[in-house]
Amino acid sequence: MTLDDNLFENLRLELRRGSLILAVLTQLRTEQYGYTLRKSLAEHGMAIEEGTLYPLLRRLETQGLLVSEWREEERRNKRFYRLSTDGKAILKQLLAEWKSIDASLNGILRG
Amino acid sequence: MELVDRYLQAVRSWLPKARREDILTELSEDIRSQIEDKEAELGRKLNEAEVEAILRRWGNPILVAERYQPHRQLIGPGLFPEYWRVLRIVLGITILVLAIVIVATLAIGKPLPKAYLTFPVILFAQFGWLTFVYAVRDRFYRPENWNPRSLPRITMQAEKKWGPQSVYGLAIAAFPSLWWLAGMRFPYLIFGPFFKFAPVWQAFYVPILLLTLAEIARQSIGLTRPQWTRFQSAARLVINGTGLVVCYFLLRAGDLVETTDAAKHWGGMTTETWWIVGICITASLYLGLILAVITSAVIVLKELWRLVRSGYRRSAVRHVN
Repeated sequence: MTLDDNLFENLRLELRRGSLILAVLTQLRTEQYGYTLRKSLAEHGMAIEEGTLYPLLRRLETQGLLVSEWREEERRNKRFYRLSTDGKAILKQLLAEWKSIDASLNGILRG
Repeated sequence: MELVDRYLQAVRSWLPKARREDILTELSEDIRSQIEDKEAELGRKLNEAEVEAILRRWGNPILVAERYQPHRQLIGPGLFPEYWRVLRIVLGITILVLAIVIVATLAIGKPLPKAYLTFPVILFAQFGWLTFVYAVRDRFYRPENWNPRSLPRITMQAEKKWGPQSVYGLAIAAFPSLWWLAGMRFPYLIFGPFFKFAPVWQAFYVPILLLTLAEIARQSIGLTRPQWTRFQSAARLVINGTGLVVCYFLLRAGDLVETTDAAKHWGGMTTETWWIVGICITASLYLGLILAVITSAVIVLKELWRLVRSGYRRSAVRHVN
């Protein structure tokens, strides 16, 4: 990987970091467990590494944005996550912010 | 599945204790789901290499576990720049002093004592203590507690020129040189009663005296005739160039100090102790000489560069006319 590639990759990851939280919160409007969540994010073009997703889910849960519970499904114990009431309110605010950033950037790009 | 169990065991030991089993069950569930999906896709059991590829994608067990820990750092970004600067200065000075002591010891033909082998330990100890002090400071450091009014006053860069800017400054600058010259004739002014300059200094007394007087004259002319810039450049070049030659011979001289008769007759210290004190004094003198060499070399190079540049400019102006 050249210096330019490395630089691009770092900037790309930085750009995606905030969007990933938005994508995870949006996706968890419907209850899911980690593995299916990761698959659905990948299907929507927002692939996330296993080692990144689970700590992120724990952090969002600690912050009170998600709630989770262990349930048995297909004879295996799985931890299901969904948005909490606070999470729903924050998601609404974040989506409004994201749209505002998107509109501003488009305005800048149009000159 | 042995590889998966080994992987989970490796992650387990680095996870926070309170949530260890909970996190591990979830990770295990994901890895096994991935393996099952892949097996369903291929219609057969995965071999060891394929399981290994899945685990590799998960990443290093320590890194995977670390992401579950709260953000931890020994020294935060608010103190790290200061820590790094102090560390470099402290280690730099220690290495320089130790190098000079070793050079001085070898120069006077003495074998290096075994105690010198502990030098790396000194460096590690300095590194350890400094890191410890800053790590403790970091626990109590609040970067948000700052006030624009408590920032240092602006330093006037334009006023920061080498050399004194006033008669008072000239006197201040001349005093150490005169004291040094007096000390060469009357060593107790510098070393006290038990040490004196080695004979090699006597050979350089007149050149050093002339250089000191020349430098004082140059600075005096700079005060009264500041417009004589070319003279100042030439004088700086000659004085510092000559100074470099003197330093060269002094650095090659070996013994720079020796004990006086008073030290030999005074029974308060052993010969070995006098020798160690002598080494320390010699090391300080070598350090001073090396600093003088560096300073003079920088000035000589700067003046040479200025000469070359002004010569080039003059020829360019002639060419245009």
